[in-house]
Amino acid sequence: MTLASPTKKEAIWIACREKTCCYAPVVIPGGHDIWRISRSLLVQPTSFLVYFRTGQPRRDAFHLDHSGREFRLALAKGPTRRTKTAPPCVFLMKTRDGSHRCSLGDLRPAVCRTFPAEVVDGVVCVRPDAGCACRGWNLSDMDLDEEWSDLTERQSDLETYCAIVDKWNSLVADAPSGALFVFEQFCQHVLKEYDAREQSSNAGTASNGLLPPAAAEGSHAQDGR
Amino acid sequence: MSMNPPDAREDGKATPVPCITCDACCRNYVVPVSGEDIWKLSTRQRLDPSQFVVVVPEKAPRPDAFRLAEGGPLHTLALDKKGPFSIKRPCVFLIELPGSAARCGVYDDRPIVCSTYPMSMWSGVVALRRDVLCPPGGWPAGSALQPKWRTAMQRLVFQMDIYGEVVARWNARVAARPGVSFVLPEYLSYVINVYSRLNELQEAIGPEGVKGVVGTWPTFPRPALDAETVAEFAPRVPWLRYFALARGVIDEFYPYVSPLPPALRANADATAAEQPVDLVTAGLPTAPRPVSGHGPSRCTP
Repeated sequence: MTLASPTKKEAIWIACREKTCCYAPVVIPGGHDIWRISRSLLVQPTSFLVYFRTGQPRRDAFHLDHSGREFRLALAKGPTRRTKTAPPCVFLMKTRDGSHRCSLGDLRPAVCRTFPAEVVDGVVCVRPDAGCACRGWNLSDMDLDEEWSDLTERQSDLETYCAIVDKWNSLVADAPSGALFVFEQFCQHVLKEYDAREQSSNAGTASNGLLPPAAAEGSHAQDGR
Repeated sequence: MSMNPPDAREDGKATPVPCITCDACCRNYVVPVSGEDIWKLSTRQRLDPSQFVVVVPEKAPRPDAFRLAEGGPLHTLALDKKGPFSIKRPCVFLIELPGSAARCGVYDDRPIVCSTYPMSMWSGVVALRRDVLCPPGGWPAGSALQPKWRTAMQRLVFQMDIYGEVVARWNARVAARPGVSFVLPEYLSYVINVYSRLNELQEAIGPEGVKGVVGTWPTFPRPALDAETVAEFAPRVPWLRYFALARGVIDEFYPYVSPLPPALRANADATAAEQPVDLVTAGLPTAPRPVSGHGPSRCTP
């Protein structure tokens, strides 16, 4: 099996030892990312997500009761350690020589894949708060068309996710007074909604819809075991 | 990343496997790696081997045990662990999630011994190892009969045999330079170089060809083979032909070292009368020729 060469941005990502971004306090995956990770690794979203109370009402904030409290979710962190820095993402792997890798690889969330690019007013830019320790990013490190495509898809998934959250919040609102829901139930709702969307969009295709076509071809080329 | 853990949805049917809720084997073994494992992980994960393998001292000679100096101690290579190295620590590649069994972070590129666990094979019979850490009763009766286990076991013997040839050539090179101490990065570079060329050989043969070679690779018990037998039968026996080609690739390294007899381990004790199968149908000579082997073989870690 011939290996695809990494893109310039991927090569920089792989070469990065610090992974300062993986140590960021809050990393918020998209709904589709949660579904992909959960269905590929056969783990419940609650095993790799945390949720936190958010002050302002937001389109992506979910309710768990009728109190009006808003919650958002984020990737869980690894176990706490006796160091000054807070622990990094639960999926960050550290090798003995101190280098870091994302153990999700191709499964990593879109926010991680597009980092540090963002779209401002239709223009792909490098986030000013990237916080990279060892280098400064510039647009020539990226394929702008690919970034634009990934960022647009991320925005589109956000719309899908907000619709799913909206549906959940309606379910909560319609529940009898005093009803309480748990985070796990919200996660199950998200998974089911994406299951339904994948089933209807993948009807008749061979792909299982979990990975982009190139990666799926690679994994299906493996022997059974 | 393909479905991980394995088999949960093979052929569209849910096949119960205990792996979904168990990660004992990822936490309680020193996991040996073949040269092909190292090359695969290094190239696909884009890691230097030094970032994920450790050296394990070996007392007894083994086909995968290498020296760094003539007369010096033997070593094998194994997967690193998270944190301080100890047998009961999680694998360096293990994704540990709170509230869930852990998952493999390199599933598609995992070492061959991870693929075969918890099965073993002897005399053509694939069966569950007796000393497994899996939940009792986790593997239903007959689960060893699924073809993927035999395929994995064939790949294990194939990989370890080829790696044995790779290691033997390195050891001969070390022996040819008494008084010189080589360092581990040199050995690792040699492994990556050899397997880069072996991969080209496999690509030239094609996936179907390789599948045929691995599928017919002789497993234990088997006769010992010498260079003359290999040369004589290679044209008609596909796995022998591959062996000869692979040896051709390996022998290109360190040309000042003469080609060695095949290091292929044999069940050296079996005489012609004790052979349970008719070797003629396999295209091989009927009687094993005496060879100084390494003693009884081990297909499992």
